[in-house]
Amino acid sequence: MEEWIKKIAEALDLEELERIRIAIFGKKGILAKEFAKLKTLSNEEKPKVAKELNEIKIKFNELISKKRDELEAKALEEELKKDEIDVSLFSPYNNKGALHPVQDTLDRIIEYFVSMNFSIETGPLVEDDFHNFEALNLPKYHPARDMQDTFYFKDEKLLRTHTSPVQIRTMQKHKPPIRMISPGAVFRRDFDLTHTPMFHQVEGLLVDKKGEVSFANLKYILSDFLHYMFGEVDIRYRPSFFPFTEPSAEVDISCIFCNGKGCRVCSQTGWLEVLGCGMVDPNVFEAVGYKDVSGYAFGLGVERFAMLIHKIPDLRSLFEGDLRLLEQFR
Amino acid sequence: MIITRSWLQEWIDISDITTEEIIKKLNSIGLEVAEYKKIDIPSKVVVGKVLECEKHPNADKLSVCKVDVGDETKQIVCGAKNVAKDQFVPVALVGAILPGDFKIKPAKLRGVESEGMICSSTEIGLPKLEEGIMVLDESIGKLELGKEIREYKILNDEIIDIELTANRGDCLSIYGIARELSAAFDISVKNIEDIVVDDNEKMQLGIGRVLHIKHEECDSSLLYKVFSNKDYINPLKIKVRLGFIEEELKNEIENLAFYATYSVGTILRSYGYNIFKKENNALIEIKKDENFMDAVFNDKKVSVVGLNQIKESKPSKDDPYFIIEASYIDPELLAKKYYEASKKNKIDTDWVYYRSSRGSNPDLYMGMDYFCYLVKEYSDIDIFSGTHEILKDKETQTINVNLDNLSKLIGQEVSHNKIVNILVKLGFSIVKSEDKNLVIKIAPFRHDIKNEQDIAEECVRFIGIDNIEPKPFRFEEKNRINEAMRDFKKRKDLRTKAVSVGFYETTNYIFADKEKLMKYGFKTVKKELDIINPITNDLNTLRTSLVPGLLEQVVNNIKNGKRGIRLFEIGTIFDENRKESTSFTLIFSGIKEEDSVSNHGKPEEIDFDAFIKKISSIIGDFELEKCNVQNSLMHPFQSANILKNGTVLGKVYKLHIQCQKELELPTTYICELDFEKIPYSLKEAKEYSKYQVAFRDLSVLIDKDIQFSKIKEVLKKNLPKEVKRFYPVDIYESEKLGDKKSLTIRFVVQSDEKTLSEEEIGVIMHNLLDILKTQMNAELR
Repeated sequence: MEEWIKKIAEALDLEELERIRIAIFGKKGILAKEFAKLKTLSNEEKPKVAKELNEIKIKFNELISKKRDELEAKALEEELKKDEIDVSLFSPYNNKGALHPVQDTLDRIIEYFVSMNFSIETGPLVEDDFHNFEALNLPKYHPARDMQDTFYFKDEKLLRTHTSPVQIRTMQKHKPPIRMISPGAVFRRDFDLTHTPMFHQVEGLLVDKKGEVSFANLKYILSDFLHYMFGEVDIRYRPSFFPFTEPSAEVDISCIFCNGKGCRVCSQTGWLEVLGCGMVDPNVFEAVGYKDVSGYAFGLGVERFAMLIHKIPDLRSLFEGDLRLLEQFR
Repeated sequence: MIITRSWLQEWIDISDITTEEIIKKLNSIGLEVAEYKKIDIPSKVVVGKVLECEKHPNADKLSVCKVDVGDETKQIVCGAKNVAKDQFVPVALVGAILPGDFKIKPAKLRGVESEGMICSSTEIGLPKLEEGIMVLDESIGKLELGKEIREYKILNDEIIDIELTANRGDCLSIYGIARELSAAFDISVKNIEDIVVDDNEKMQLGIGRVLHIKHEECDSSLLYKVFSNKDYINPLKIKVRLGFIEEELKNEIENLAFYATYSVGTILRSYGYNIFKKENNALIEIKKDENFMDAVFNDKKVSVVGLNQIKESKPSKDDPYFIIEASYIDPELLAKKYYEASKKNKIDTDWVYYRSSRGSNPDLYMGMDYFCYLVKEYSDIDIFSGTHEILKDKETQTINVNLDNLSKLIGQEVSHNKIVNILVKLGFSIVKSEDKNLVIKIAPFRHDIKNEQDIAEECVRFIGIDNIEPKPFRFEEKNRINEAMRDFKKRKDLRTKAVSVGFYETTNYIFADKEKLMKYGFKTVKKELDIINPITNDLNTLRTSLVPGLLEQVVNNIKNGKRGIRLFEIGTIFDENRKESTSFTLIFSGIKEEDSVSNHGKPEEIDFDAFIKKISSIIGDFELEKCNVQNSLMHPFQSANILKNGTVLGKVYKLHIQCQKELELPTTYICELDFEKIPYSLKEAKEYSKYQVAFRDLSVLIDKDIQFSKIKEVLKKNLPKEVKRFYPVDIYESEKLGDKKSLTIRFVVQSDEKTLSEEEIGVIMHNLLDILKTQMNAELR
């Protein structure tokens, strides 16, 4: 008995333990032999020895079971150990791509205005003179047309120079009230360090009954929007001129590079121009047949926002698909 | 529009206001300051007088001067040709440091001592005015020997560059800006009468003796005056200011007239006398030209009002007299006529058009009087008495303004008094003034003011937008989800998925190189619909595919040392008829993954299978069929249409080897999808079987050239309903098999009603094999 207890304790693996178990409990095992001896015993001795044997049997069972748990745990441990790797050899790199910073900025802008219950409206890139200019209070002879160098087609169509024609199309299609933005690509014949022939704009338009919409409302939403995009910045409104709004203003934020102290980016002024806006000119409403309405409109260049937010120095790099830039937005 | 502080000071008293405050105010009233520059003439540069000027004994080009600089006389060697006795000149004394860290020290020039330097304008930080040294005169103030030049504010000026908007022709003069500032600072602007006090004309000879005018009905107002032509040179003040405003210098009379125009805003042209001369008199004829524009004629057309002037008509030395014309024409009328005329022929314009088409000062007498004042002040030119004039009455426009409307538009109460005060300062007059209603006469020079909303702008400008309290807009809520919103969401969804499987989003111009498009085999926009004025030759048409742009970006990235390039773009493309559509194109070039331990530093290049798996991670399951389109971009044997629910969404292909070699690219795959066709809708759940699934393979020998799609087609037609799905799992070809190949297809078998027994599955598989045998000539391997 002691000998077997020792054997169990010294078993090295599950196989050996199983052999020991069979040697103890098997048909030809030691217990079977002992139980067989019972037959030869007297009736008085029988219960006593049988009881003893049963206790031994239970004892062996316990010991083996305990040892098995132990060995199983050890085997699992060894199996796990076999899987061991040097995790520091691995570092997943460049498996995810990235959204383009301009498109990503556009998404953020759209999401802001959608959350403010503006609708998204879109329109064609190839436009006609009426929607791009005439209806926006820019008659053919207007000197302000010089501001927008236009791509023309042989059939007198043109590439839209701003997303404002979408406002005209939306007003022609729907009755007021209107609460919309028009995001998209626009085109001007200009190509140098700070101009590309294509860029992206978002314009907004709100039209309601006459006397309902005020410049104060315009200031409210634009200030909130600029804080959403740029965080805690100072905002300055400067009167300006756009043919399709009156009064018009340009909106500056305090320079996010120098906190308004003056640096190269803000041309030492401490301010960065980011938006144009104003109250819709009555001539525009007249062009689309709206009567007794008032409204505001605003427009911004998405590339400019993206460059400021992400501190991208070169406008043209936004159209080059250069992974050295794009990978940084991973 | 460049202004200077001292020039402004002539029209409005700003001596108590700092330049910083002026700049801030200009910005806040909508006159955006683009640049500010302070001239900083170095100290120890003083007024000197050339007492003697002798030739240098040892150098032809040098002079030796004795210069009185106040308390002493210095000997200075000077190299300028124009130096002469009795001139007042700026002298840099020993110890002065000129721009460019140029220190003035005592020197010996070819053996002659020199103590200082006589300076040119550029040497002391002023614009270039003439060749040689700068000669001083009293137009800049009283000349005192030894006085620091930097104390003359007309020279040591401050320069402000204003970026004027196209509607503000009235601010194209110093006087115009002064008027704006007068309203902003509530101080008065000087009148022309304050400046031109003496209006006695020196010469009593009347204009009629020398000049006659003949004219038809005119659109414009014109005023003519005649002057005797003498050898005249503009004083330093005028020269230096024309230098500050970067005006290209013309002849002296033209410069003087331009200076007057720049000061008060009235258009002044100068003409020579001889060009109009007829025997003993001169005749100017004003009539309509071929474009129905007012033009000045002798026998031929000499100038067009508001537009241009022939060179030959400008004053020259030979003219005994010169003529000054003040003109005004309604800017809108001018712009319209010019637009119509320029449609027929190209028309040259000069500086006058820029000013006239934006609206010049209609007060012709103001301009002429100011010019005469300058002539009297700075020359001995004689002025003929009287003028010839053609004056067109300008209708004075009035606007009715309701104060409640104004307040509502601005969003806060504006007071009656405040508005009236602003408008009057700006040159408007109040015709009628009631509690809430005003009738306002528009200032004749304000061409941009037409309606009540324009008046609101004037109020906003001078109240200051920053003083308007922001207020949220109250509105009725409305569901604004539309097609564009759904497109935005779909686009975002696809882009995000593309990014998550490793693609980088990119943007290209919508322009393309027509030749390149044709070379690749793309259709191009029809000639008669193409761009007239492309920006460059390689962006000369609209793109009909996103691929050329993406390929170019891949090529550039390879040049930059990148080895695995994954790009995509969602953008507009055009068809031959210039119809717009949206394409979603992805490109994968080079290594499949970064080199690492797992690939032993030798990553494989992208292959068809890996590429389409990426595509399916973005757009979901799809099927492929052989694509029969052929062009120079597509590998003819690795190209496929992408189908979803029977609709072709686009194609996927390997870049043609020829093209790949030409561009020096690694293996490249491209997928072009029609954005609109990619399904984007809510999914509906179907009932699914809860019984056991069995997987069974069939390996068959079939003809080598049979594509799997054919087998799929045949099986699909006859598929038992228990076969939920089947797909190829192995393909094997060898010489031993000859013109056959071995194909293993795995079938997923599951009933909706029960767990199938082995026998039942066996029957199904047997039937499937039968189909393949009879219809595909297959045999069991």
